[in-house]
Amino acid sequence: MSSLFGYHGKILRADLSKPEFTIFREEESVLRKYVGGATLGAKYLYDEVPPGVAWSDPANRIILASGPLGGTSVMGSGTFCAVTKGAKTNGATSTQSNGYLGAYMRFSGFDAVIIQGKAKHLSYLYIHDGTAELRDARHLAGKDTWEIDSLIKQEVGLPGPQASVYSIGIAGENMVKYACLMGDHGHAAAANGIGAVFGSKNLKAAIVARGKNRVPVFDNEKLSATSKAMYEMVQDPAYWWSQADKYGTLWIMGRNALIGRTPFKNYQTADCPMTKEQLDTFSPQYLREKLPMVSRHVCWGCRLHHLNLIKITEGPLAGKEGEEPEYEGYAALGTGVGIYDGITATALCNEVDGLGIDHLEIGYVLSMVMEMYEKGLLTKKDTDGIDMTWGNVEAVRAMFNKIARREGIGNILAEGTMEAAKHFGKKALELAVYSKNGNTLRQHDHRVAWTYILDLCTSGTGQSEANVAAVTSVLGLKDPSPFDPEQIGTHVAKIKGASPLVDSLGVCRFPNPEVPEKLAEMVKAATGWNDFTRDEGMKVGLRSVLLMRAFNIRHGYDASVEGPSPRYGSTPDSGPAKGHGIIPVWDAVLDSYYKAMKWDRKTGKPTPEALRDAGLPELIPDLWPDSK
Amino acid sequence: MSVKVTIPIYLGHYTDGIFEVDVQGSTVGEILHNIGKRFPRLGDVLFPHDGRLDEFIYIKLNERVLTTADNPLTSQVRDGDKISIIFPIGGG
Repeated sequence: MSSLFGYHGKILRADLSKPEFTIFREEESVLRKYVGGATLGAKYLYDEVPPGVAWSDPANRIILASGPLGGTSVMGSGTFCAVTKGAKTNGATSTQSNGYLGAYMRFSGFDAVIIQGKAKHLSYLYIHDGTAELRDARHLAGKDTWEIDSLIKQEVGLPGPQASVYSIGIAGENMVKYACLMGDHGHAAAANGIGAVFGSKNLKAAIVARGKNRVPVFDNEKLSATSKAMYEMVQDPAYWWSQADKYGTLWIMGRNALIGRTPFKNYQTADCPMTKEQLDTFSPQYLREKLPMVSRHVCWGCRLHHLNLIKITEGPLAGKEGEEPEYEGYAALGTGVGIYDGITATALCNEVDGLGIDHLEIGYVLSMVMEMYEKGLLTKKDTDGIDMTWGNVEAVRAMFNKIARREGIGNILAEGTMEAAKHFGKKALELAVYSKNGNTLRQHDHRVAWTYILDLCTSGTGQSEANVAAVTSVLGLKDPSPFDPEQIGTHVAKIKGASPLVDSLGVCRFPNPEVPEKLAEMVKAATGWNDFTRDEGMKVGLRSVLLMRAFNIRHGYDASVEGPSPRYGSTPDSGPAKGHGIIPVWDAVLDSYYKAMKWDRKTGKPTPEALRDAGLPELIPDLWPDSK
Repeated sequence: MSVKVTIPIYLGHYTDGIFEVDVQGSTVGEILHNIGKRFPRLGDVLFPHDGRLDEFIYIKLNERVLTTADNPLTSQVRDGDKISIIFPIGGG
């Protein structure tokens, strides 16, 4: 192992039940095949969590994995990927987060951490100096995800940037099915209730000391040069992410709201209901002028001006430090619930972050309740006396606090949009916006972007699997005809693998978008694998997709439910998709996609050929026991 | 000068489903303002504030993307040039 580059080759296993901490060495052949992050995590999940183990079972695993670029000179290389069996779908989950933790994990000597078992009482995991310990966190119960950062750092004597903390809020403690993990002041690993899985293990937080182990890099000069070339590409205005260099995702609302891509009133309209003045309150210029800036909020090694730390100006957190939300938060807790004021939405997003709840899912939960309230399907009797009128700020605030604590109606809504709709009945199921496999959709109106509907409804990660628009341009592909079922299916199949590849490297997609040629060059420079190609990289990403899907199928996933809810797949009566609905042609979309992916149309299982092509023949006996 | 302008598919609802138009003008600014006259709702999207081109819209003149530093509105055009309006969309 002395010649291993790009890795320490060491994985920490933390058994919370005993508690016991062991380290095992991973073979270079395994690292090359699965690389890191999402794909390495998927391999451990598949191997170690057998069918029959539920998300809340102590035998479930949480894998926090960096990758060969983590903690190197590559911009935004503090990213990690969390892989688990998630709470919302009770299926495979892959959710990444930026900040510092991924880099610090590597500086502590580990490429990944596997967490298993369940602590006797609320605890936190402290990783430092090549080992770990479990500490009592009972005094931290109920603390929000922002204040806990400094409290834990104070306890271990590592203030400020000397450590990275990721924690759950009260929603995770109460196992809200879409509770998330928050860290490094505002970053989130949010998908599929990773926070609830932490809660089920009595794990309030993980803190990783900065450490002094540097990652062995094969050719640092070449790695830095490739990273610089990638940054130059990111700044090219021909690509959408050039906007991120200056404003993160704040510029998106002003665009998407005008082209039917921002969800309004629970997908009841594709027309922007805001006045120009209201829309302007979500513009980066307005927000950065009105929200007092504390400092830039940068991730490990990154130069993008993605986010600021700010002073919150209203609500119960007024005067406290917070973070500029992303576009998705503004859509979920602003425009999506009829709150047409960016400053108010900023406050609400930060409150929800403190509770540790996924913005995306709670946005659809609240908009469903508001539409039902508007139509008289729910009354104040049902909502515990809360007037759930569109745009009622105090109602939104009261409701997300109830959800976090599972109080009253909050206990129903804590199960997620689809499950809550099932509870409310047929009319709720007709109007709720969800994917039938339980995956959480982003805060976009996908009726104008069918590729995203297909990706979400067939993803094995609990959320979207492909960053379709960005991947399309960098892979040199043309956008498919937007409402052509055949083209939609084949297009999504072509790009699968690109986004999971980035999530397998320990880097952020903003400074390192899905450009497989450049990513492969970086992997080469970091590891010395001089024959690592673009195609091998794409195959690594595809392995993540297949492992997650195979895991889900072994665990009872019913592929026959794959599809959008009636409202999610409905036909808009305005906007660019006016008159076009995906549901009437959904079977044709799936036909095309399954064929291109080489998945069995009846069962949804990847065929033996698909598994062999991806270099995963060992999965064939599990999925096709009668196959020779 | 007659220039062919391509309008992104996402803005088609502002142009009655028209994605390519021939427009007269001698600069990019003139061309875009003339498009705005023909399709007023598209004009509002292109020029939301005091006649300034929206900061997040890019213009491609033939094969070259014009950045802010190029002062895109004052760029001269020639007969037969092609202009594409680039309207970045984010996330998904």
